[in-house]
Amino acid sequence: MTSITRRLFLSLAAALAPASAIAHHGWGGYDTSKSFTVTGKILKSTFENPHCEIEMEVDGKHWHFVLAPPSRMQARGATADLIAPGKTCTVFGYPHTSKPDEARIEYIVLEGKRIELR
Amino acid sequence: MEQAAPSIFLTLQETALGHAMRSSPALYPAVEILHIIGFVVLVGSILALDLRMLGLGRTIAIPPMAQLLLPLSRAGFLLAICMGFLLFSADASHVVKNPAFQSKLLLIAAALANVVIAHAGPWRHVERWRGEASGAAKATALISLVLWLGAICAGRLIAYF
Repeated sequence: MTSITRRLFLSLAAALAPASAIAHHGWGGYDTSKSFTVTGKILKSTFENPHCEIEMEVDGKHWHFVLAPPSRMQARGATADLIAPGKTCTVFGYPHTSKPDEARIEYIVLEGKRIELR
Repeated sequence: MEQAAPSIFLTLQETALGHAMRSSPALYPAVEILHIIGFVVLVGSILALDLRMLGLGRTIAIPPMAQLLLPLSRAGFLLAICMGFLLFSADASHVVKNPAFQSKLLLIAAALANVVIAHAGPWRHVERWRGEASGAAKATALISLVLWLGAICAGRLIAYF
């Protein structure tokens, strides 16, 4: 790469970097200002495209947590057996702005291991 | 209370097809890629022809350009529709209620109606255009541009509603 295109590329990358941390696929409908962390037992799970999902009951509230696509889950070590019903996990995520029982999960803690889902 | 989707959409997502789309790790992304290739070919070819109709690139004659681009747009449409149906089958009962998806179907229906109007009307006189499309043809080209680009916008927004 010539130095001018290289400089252009780097400045473009720098300009876009902070935006890419918040603006990401499918996260528009979730309120990032109301992030929360909860731990509970998984009641139901689907390891399917387009996104894996788990259901948990926390303090009497039934939640649907939207995770990552199965291929990414697999690649990062969040395998289907680790999110099977009966397993305990901790999730950090953001509630949906209009569906009160749905949240998008930023990272999940399974057997003491934190796995980023973004 | 949210209204339940008609059972036909639930049936669709519970078919072997719907299950395969969800459970296979590679199928869904592969179909997504083909869906994108389909609408890129469709909207790309239509965009070029519409812009020519609106007066860009006057050195290129419209009939031979249309001869190349119209079959391309049909092939792209067929691919995009088929792959779109497969993606839809994975989560039909939810997606059918998605306002962005509903808008996208309306925009596509309007764009197809515009194709029928354009080819039943102004395009019948294409030989008489003398290098410049008629006013009516230009109007359908502009409408086409807006509707197909709108369909892409609505399609991308499905993930955000």
